[in-house]
Amino acid sequence: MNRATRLLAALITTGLIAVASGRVTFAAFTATTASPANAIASGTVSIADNDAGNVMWNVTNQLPTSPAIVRCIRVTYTGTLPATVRLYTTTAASALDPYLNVTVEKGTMPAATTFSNCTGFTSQATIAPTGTLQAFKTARTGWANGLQAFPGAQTAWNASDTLVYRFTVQVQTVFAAQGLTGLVGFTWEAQNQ
Amino acid sequence: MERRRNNQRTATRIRIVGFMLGMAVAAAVLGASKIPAGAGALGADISMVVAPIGELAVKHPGRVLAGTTLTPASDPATGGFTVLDQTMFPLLLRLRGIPDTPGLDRALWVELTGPDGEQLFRGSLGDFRDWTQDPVTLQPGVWSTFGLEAWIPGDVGPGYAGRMVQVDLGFRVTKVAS
Repeated sequence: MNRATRLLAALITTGLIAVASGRVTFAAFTATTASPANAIASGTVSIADNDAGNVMWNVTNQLPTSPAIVRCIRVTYTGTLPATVRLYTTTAASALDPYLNVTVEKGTMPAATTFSNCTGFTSQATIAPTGTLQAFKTARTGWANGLQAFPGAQTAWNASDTLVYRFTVQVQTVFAAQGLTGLVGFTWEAQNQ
Repeated sequence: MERRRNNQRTATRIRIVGFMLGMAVAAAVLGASKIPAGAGALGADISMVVAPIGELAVKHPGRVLAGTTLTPASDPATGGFTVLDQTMFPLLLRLRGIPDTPGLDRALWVELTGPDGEQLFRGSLGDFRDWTQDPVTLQPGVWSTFGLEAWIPGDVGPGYAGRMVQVDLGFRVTKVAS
Protein backbone atom coordinates (compact mmCIF):
# COMPACT_ATOMS: atom_id res chain seq x y z
CA MET A 1 0.00 0.00 0.00
CA ASN A 2 1.56 3.27 -1.03
CA ARG A 3 1.51 6.47 0.96
CA ALA A 4 -1.37 8.07 -0.90
CA THR A 5 -3.55 5.00 -0.47
CA ARG A 6 -2.79 4.85 3.24
CA LEU A 7 -3.53 8.54 3.57
CA LEU A 8 -6.85 8.05 1.83
CA ALA A 9 -7.68 5.01 3.91
CA ALA A 10 -6.89 6.88 7.12
CA LEU A 11 -9.11 9.78 6.11
CA ILE A 12 -11.99 7.55 5.14
CA THR A 13 -11.71 5.44 8.26
CA THR A 14 -11.55 8.44 10.52
CA GLY A 15 -14.46 10.07 8.73
CA LEU A 16 -16.55 6.94 8.95
CA ILE A 17 -15.85 6.58 12.66
CA ALA A 18 -16.72 10.19 13.21
CA VAL A 19 -19.91 9.98 11.20
CA ALA A 20 -20.81 6.75 12.91
CA SER A 21 -20.41 8.42 16.27
CA GLY A 22 -22.51 11.23 14.90
CA ARG A 23 -25.21 8.73 14.03
CA VAL A 24 -25.10 7.47 17.57
CA THR A 25 -25.65 11.04 18.65
CA PHE A 26 -28.52 11.37 16.18
CA ALA A 27 -30.08 8.34 17.81
CA ALA A 28 -30.34 10.42 20.95
CA PHE A 29 -33.00 12.47 19.13
CA THR A 30 -35.82 10.14 19.97
CA ALA A 31 -39.50 10.81 19.76
CA THR A 32 -42.13 9.48 22.09
CA THR A 33 -45.79 10.00 22.49
CA ALA A 34 -47.51 9.72 25.81
CA SER A 35 -50.99 9.80 27.20
CA PRO A 36 -50.38 11.24 30.64
CA ALA A 37 -52.67 11.56 33.63
CA ASN A 38 -55.78 10.13 32.02
CA ALA A 39 -58.66 11.32 34.13
CA ILE A 40 -62.27 10.42 34.37
CA ALA A 41 -64.78 12.36 36.37
CA SER A 42 -68.35 11.46 36.97
CA GLY A 43 -71.02 13.97 36.05
CA THR A 44 -73.33 15.59 38.51
CA VAL A 45 -77.02 16.22 38.76
CA SER A 46 -77.99 18.99 41.14
CA ILE A 47 -80.54 21.72 41.26
CA ALA A 48 -81.13 24.76 43.43
CA ASP A 49 -83.49 27.66 43.83
CA ASN A 50 -83.33 31.21 45.09
CA ASP A 51 -85.68 30.99 48.07
CA ALA A 52 -82.83 30.66 50.62
CA GLY A 53 -85.16 28.51 52.67
CA ASN A 54 -88.00 31.01 52.75
CA VAL A 55 -91.61 30.31 51.81
CA MET A 56 -93.09 31.72 48.61
CA TRP A 57 -96.21 32.94 50.32
CA ASN A 58 -97.67 33.10 53.79
CA VAL A 59 -100.84 35.14 53.64
CA THR A 60 -103.82 35.43 55.94
CA ASN A 61 -107.35 36.77 55.66
CA GLN A 62 -107.57 36.05 51.98
CA LEU A 63 -110.88 36.74 50.29
CA PRO A 64 -112.17 35.73 46.89
CA THR A 65 -111.98 39.42 46.06
CA SER A 66 -108.38 39.76 47.21
CA PRO A 67 -105.79 40.14 44.48
CA ALA A 68 -104.36 36.82 43.37
CA ILE A 69 -101.16 35.75 45.05
CA VAL A 70 -98.47 35.89 42.38
CA ARG A 71 -95.02 34.60 43.25
CA CYS A 72 -91.96 33.62 41.27
CA ILE A 73 -89.14 31.28 42.04
CA ARG A 74 -85.99 30.88 39.98
CA VAL A 75 -84.68 27.35 39.59
CA THR A 76 -81.05 26.87 38.54
CA TYR A 77 -79.56 23.65 37.27
CA THR A 78 -76.14 23.33 38.88
CA GLY A 79 -75.24 19.86 37.62
CA THR A 80 -73.13 18.94 34.63
CA LEU A 81 -75.17 16.20 32.96
CA PRO A 82 -78.11 17.00 30.70
CA ALA A 83 -81.19 16.49 32.83
CA THR A 84 -84.95 16.52 33.03
CA VAL A 85 -86.58 18.51 35.80
CA ARG A 86 -90.04 17.86 37.15
CA LEU A 87 -92.16 19.70 39.69
CA TYR A 88 -94.41 17.95 42.16
CA THR A 89 -95.70 18.15 45.72
CA THR A 90 -95.72 15.68 48.55
CA THR A 91 -97.69 17.89 50.92
CA ALA A 92 -100.68 16.23 52.52
CA ALA A 93 -104.17 17.46 51.71
CA SER A 94 -105.41 20.54 53.55
CA ALA A 95 -108.89 21.96 54.04
CA LEU A 96 -108.62 24.89 51.64
CA ASP A 97 -107.20 22.85 48.73
CA PRO A 98 -110.53 22.39 46.88
CA TYR A 99 -111.16 26.15 46.97
CA LEU A 100 -107.78 27.39 45.83
CA ASN A 101 -107.10 27.84 42.15
CA VAL A 102 -103.48 27.45 41.09
CA THR A 103 -101.79 28.27 37.79
CA VAL A 104 -98.14 27.57 37.03
CA GLU A 105 -96.21 29.19 34.21
CA LYS A 106 -92.60 28.98 33.14
CA GLY A 107 -90.63 31.91 31.83
CA THR A 108 -87.79 34.34 32.22
CA MET A 109 -87.19 37.30 34.45
CA PRO A 110 -84.47 39.90 34.91
CA ALA A 111 -81.73 38.56 37.17
CA ALA A 112 -82.12 41.53 39.47
CA THR A 113 -85.66 40.53 40.36
CA THR A 114 -85.29 38.84 43.71
CA PHE A 115 -87.32 36.07 45.29
CA SER A 116 -90.32 35.95 45.33
CA ASN A 117 -91.14 38.93 43.15
CA CYS A 118 -92.16 38.58 39.53
CA THR A 119 -91.17 41.99 38.21
CA GLY A 120 -90.34 41.66 34.54
CA PHE A 121 -91.53 38.07 34.26
CA THR A 122 -92.09 36.96 30.67
CA SER A 123 -94.14 33.83 30.31
CA GLN A 124 -92.95 31.15 27.91
CA ALA A 125 -95.79 28.74 28.55
CA THR A 126 -98.47 27.78 31.02
CA ILE A 127 -97.36 24.42 32.28
CA ALA A 128 -100.24 23.86 34.71
CA PRO A 129 -103.50 25.44 33.57
CA THR A 130 -105.70 26.84 36.27
CA GLY A 131 -107.03 24.10 38.51
CA THR A 132 -107.57 23.51 42.17
CA LEU A 133 -104.71 22.90 44.52
CA GLN A 134 -106.49 19.68 45.40
CA ALA A 135 -106.25 18.52 41.79
CA PHE A 136 -102.59 19.50 41.63
CA LYS A 137 -101.81 17.57 44.78
CA THR A 138 -103.58 14.54 43.41
CA ALA A 139 -102.02 14.65 39.96
CA ARG A 140 -98.44 15.66 40.77
CA THR A 141 -97.23 13.47 43.57
CA GLY A 142 -93.74 12.48 42.49
CA TRP A 143 -91.23 12.07 39.69
CA ALA A 144 -93.41 9.72 37.68
CA ASN A 145 -96.24 12.23 37.26
CA GLY A 146 -94.31 15.42 37.93
CA LEU A 147 -94.79 18.54 35.86
CA GLN A 148 -91.99 18.60 33.31
CA ALA A 149 -90.60 21.84 31.95
CA PHE A 150 -87.45 22.96 30.18
CA PRO A 151 -85.94 26.41 29.70
CA GLY A 152 -87.32 27.91 26.50
CA ALA A 153 -87.50 25.41 23.66
CA GLN A 154 -84.78 23.19 25.08
CA THR A 155 -85.31 19.50 25.60
CA ALA A 156 -82.80 19.21 28.43
CA TRP A 157 -81.50 21.23 31.31
CA ASN A 158 -77.82 21.96 30.96
CA ALA A 159 -75.25 23.38 33.35
CA SER A 160 -76.19 26.85 34.64
CA ASP A 161 -79.63 26.86 33.01
CA THR A 162 -82.27 28.76 34.89
CA LEU A 163 -86.03 28.82 34.64
CA VAL A 164 -88.52 30.95 36.50
CA TYR A 165 -91.77 29.39 37.68
CA ARG A 166 -94.64 31.76 38.33
CA PHE A 167 -97.40 30.59 40.64
CA THR A 168 -100.76 32.35 40.67
CA VAL A 169 -103.06 31.42 43.50
CA GLN A 170 -106.61 32.66 44.00
CA VAL A 171 -109.32 31.77 46.51
CA GLN A 172 -112.57 30.69 44.85
CA THR A 173 -115.79 32.55 45.44
CA VAL A 174 -117.23 29.79 47.51
CA PHE A 175 -118.88 30.28 50.88
CA ALA A 176 -117.39 27.07 52.20
CA ALA A 177 -113.89 28.41 51.70
CA GLN A 178 -113.99 30.76 54.64
CA GLY A 179 -111.91 30.10 57.72
CA LEU A 180 -109.80 27.33 56.18
CA THR A 181 -106.09 26.91 55.67
CA GLY A 182 -104.23 25.66 52.63
CA LEU A 183 -100.71 24.41 52.79
CA VAL A 184 -98.41 23.26 50.00
CA GLY A 185 -94.75 22.79 49.38
CA PHE A 186 -93.19 22.19 45.98
CA THR A 187 -90.31 19.99 44.98
CA TRP A 188 -88.19 20.22 41.85
CA GLU A 189 -86.38 17.04 41.02
CA ALA A 190 -83.69 16.62 38.38
CA GLN A 191 -82.68 13.35 36.82
CA ASN A 192 -80.05 12.90 34.17
CA GLN A 193 -81.26 11.99 30.71
CA MET B 1 17.46 3.79 7.68
CA GLU B 2 17.09 7.55 8.10
CA ARG B 3 14.76 7.65 5.10
CA ARG B 4 12.59 4.91 6.56
CA ARG B 5 12.22 6.85 9.81
CA ASN B 6 11.24 9.97 7.89
CA ASN B 7 8.59 8.00 6.02
CA GLN B 8 7.14 6.65 9.30
CA ARG B 9 7.08 10.14 10.78
CA THR B 10 5.29 11.45 7.74
CA ALA B 11 2.76 8.60 7.86
CA THR B 12 2.04 9.30 11.51
CA ARG B 13 1.50 12.98 10.77
CA ILE B 14 -0.80 12.09 7.92
CA ARG B 15 -2.86 9.81 10.19
CA ILE B 16 -3.17 12.57 12.78
CA VAL B 17 -4.20 15.08 10.17
CA GLY B 18 -6.68 12.57 8.72
CA PHE B 19 -8.16 11.90 12.13
CA MET B 20 -8.56 15.60 12.82
CA LEU B 21 -10.13 16.17 9.44
CA GLY B 22 -12.56 13.33 10.08
CA MET B 23 -13.48 14.76 13.45
CA ALA B 24 -13.99 18.15 11.88
CA VAL B 25 -16.29 16.65 9.24
CA ALA B 26 -18.27 14.81 11.93
CA ALA B 27 -18.54 17.96 14.05
CA ALA B 28 -19.74 19.90 11.03
CA VAL B 29 -22.40 17.28 10.29
CA LEU B 30 -23.55 17.29 13.90
CA GLY B 31 -23.61 21.05 14.03
CA ALA B 32 -25.67 21.25 10.89
CA SER B 33 -28.14 18.68 12.24
CA LYS B 34 -28.67 20.37 15.58
CA ILE B 35 -32.24 21.33 16.29
CA PRO B 36 -32.40 25.07 16.93
CA ALA B 37 -33.40 26.22 20.36
CA GLY B 38 -37.03 27.24 20.85
CA ALA B 39 -37.91 30.89 20.88
CA GLY B 40 -40.26 30.85 23.90
CA ALA B 41 -40.48 29.33 27.37
CA LEU B 42 -42.80 26.46 28.23
CA GLY B 43 -45.19 27.84 30.79
CA ALA B 44 -48.28 26.87 32.75
CA ASP B 45 -51.90 27.31 31.68
CA ILE B 46 -54.75 28.14 34.00
CA SER B 47 -58.43 28.75 33.57
CA MET B 48 -61.00 29.61 36.21
CA VAL B 49 -64.68 28.92 35.71
CA VAL B 50 -67.73 30.03 37.61
CA ALA B 51 -71.33 28.82 37.61
CA PRO B 52 -74.48 30.14 39.29
CA ILE B 53 -76.01 28.57 42.36
CA GLY B 54 -79.60 28.84 43.49
CA GLU B 55 -79.12 31.99 45.50
CA LEU B 56 -76.65 33.71 43.17
CA ALA B 57 -76.90 34.64 39.54
CA VAL B 58 -73.68 35.01 37.57
CA LYS B 59 -73.53 37.60 34.83
CA HIS B 60 -71.42 35.55 32.42
CA PRO B 61 -71.09 31.98 33.64
CA GLY B 62 -68.15 29.98 32.36
CA ARG B 63 -64.50 30.90 32.05
CA VAL B 64 -63.70 34.08 33.94
CA LEU B 65 -59.89 33.91 33.88
CA ALA B 66 -57.54 32.45 31.32
CA GLY B 67 -53.75 32.47 31.54
CA THR B 68 -51.50 30.75 29.06
CA THR B 69 -47.76 30.03 29.12
CA LEU B 70 -47.41 31.60 32.55
CA THR B 71 -43.83 31.78 33.78
CA PRO B 72 -42.19 33.58 36.69
CA ALA B 73 -41.30 36.31 34.24
CA SER B 74 -44.73 36.81 32.73
CA ASP B 75 -47.44 39.22 33.79
CA PRO B 76 -50.29 37.88 35.93
CA ALA B 77 -53.38 36.53 34.24
CA THR B 78 -56.35 38.67 35.21
CA GLY B 79 -60.07 38.17 35.19
CA GLY B 80 -63.23 38.70 37.16
CA PHE B 81 -66.86 37.83 37.58
CA THR B 82 -70.07 39.45 38.70
CA VAL B 83 -72.72 37.88 40.88
CA LEU B 84 -76.13 38.91 42.14
CA ASP B 85 -78.00 37.90 45.25
CA GLN B 86 -81.38 36.84 43.90
CA THR B 87 -82.91 35.93 47.24
CA MET B 88 -84.84 38.40 49.33
CA PHE B 89 -82.15 38.60 52.04
CA PRO B 90 -78.64 40.01 52.36
CA LEU B 91 -76.21 37.14 52.09
CA LEU B 92 -72.73 36.49 53.42
CA LEU B 93 -70.61 35.04 50.65
CA ARG B 94 -67.43 33.01 50.99
CA LEU B 95 -65.48 31.73 48.02
CA ARG B 96 -62.90 29.15 47.15
CA GLY B 97 -61.31 27.52 44.12
CA ILE B 98 -60.98 23.81 43.50
CA PRO B 99 -58.26 22.89 40.97
CA ASP B 100 -58.88 19.79 38.88
CA THR B 101 -55.28 18.69 39.42
CA PRO B 102 -52.81 19.38 42.25
CA GLY B 103 -49.90 19.92 39.87
CA LEU B 104 -49.79 23.68 40.30
CA ASP B 105 -50.91 23.87 43.92
CA ARG B 106 -47.60 25.36 45.04
CA ALA B 107 -46.34 27.01 41.90
CA LEU B 108 -49.36 29.12 41.08
CA TRP B 109 -50.55 31.99 43.21
CA VAL B 110 -53.96 33.57 43.22
CA GLU B 111 -55.42 36.83 44.42
CA LEU B 112 -59.14 37.40 44.84
CA THR B 113 -60.50 40.87 45.48
CA GLY B 114 -63.98 41.87 46.55
CA PRO B 115 -66.42 44.46 45.19
CA ASP B 116 -64.69 47.30 47.03
CA GLY B 117 -61.23 46.18 46.00
CA GLU B 118 -60.60 44.51 49.32
CA GLN B 119 -58.29 41.52 49.31
CA LEU B 120 -60.23 38.35 50.12
CA PHE B 121 -57.48 35.88 49.37
CA ARG B 122 -53.85 35.95 48.36
CA GLY B 123 -51.83 32.77 48.39
CA SER B 124 -51.02 29.54 46.66
CA LEU B 125 -53.57 27.72 44.54
CA GLY B 126 -53.46 24.88 47.03
CA ASP B 127 -54.53 27.15 49.88
CA PHE B 128 -57.33 28.53 47.71
CA ARG B 129 -59.13 25.22 48.31
CA ASP B 130 -60.22 26.56 51.69
CA TRP B 131 -63.13 28.96 51.97
CA THR B 132 -62.14 32.59 52.30
CA GLN B 133 -62.15 33.71 55.91
CA ASP B 134 -63.83 37.07 55.66
CA PRO B 135 -67.25 37.00 54.00
CA VAL B 136 -68.55 39.58 51.59
CA THR B 137 -72.03 40.92 52.22
CA LEU B 138 -74.27 40.88 49.17
CA GLN B 139 -77.45 42.90 49.01
CA PRO B 140 -80.48 41.43 47.24
CA GLY B 141 -80.79 42.50 43.65
CA VAL B 142 -77.38 44.19 43.53
CA TRP B 143 -74.61 43.05 41.21
CA SER B 144 -71.19 42.67 42.85
CA THR B 145 -67.94 42.28 40.91
CA PHE B 146 -64.91 40.31 42.05
CA GLY B 147 -61.40 40.46 40.64
CA LEU B 148 -58.98 37.60 40.04
CA GLU B 149 -55.27 37.38 39.37
CA ALA B 150 -53.06 34.34 38.89
CA TRP B 151 -49.30 34.30 38.53
CA ILE B 152 -46.16 32.26 39.12
CA PRO B 153 -43.83 33.89 41.67
CA GLY B 154 -40.23 34.52 40.73
CA ASP B 155 -38.72 32.00 43.13
CA VAL B 156 -40.68 29.03 41.83
CA GLY B 157 -38.72 26.14 40.29
CA PRO B 158 -39.31 24.68 36.86
CA GLY B 159 -42.01 22.20 37.95
CA TYR B 160 -44.79 24.37 36.54
CA ALA B 161 -43.65 24.02 32.93
CA GLY B 162 -46.21 22.49 30.63
CA ARG B 163 -48.86 22.02 33.30
CA MET B 164 -52.51 22.94 32.89
CA VAL B 165 -55.15 23.43 35.53
CA GLN B 166 -58.81 24.36 35.63
CA VAL B 167 -60.13 25.90 38.80
CA ASP B 168 -63.83 25.72 39.63
CA LEU B 169 -64.81 28.67 41.79
CA GLY B 170 -67.25 27.79 44.54
CA PHE B 171 -69.73 29.91 46.48
CA ARG B 172 -71.02 29.39 49.99
CA VAL B 173 -73.76 31.69 51.15
CA THR B 174 -75.46 32.17 54.48
CA LYS B 175 -78.14 34.59 55.48
CA VAL B 176 -77.04 37.63 57.39
CA ALA B 177 -78.12 37.10 60.99
CA SER B 178 -81.00 39.41 61.79
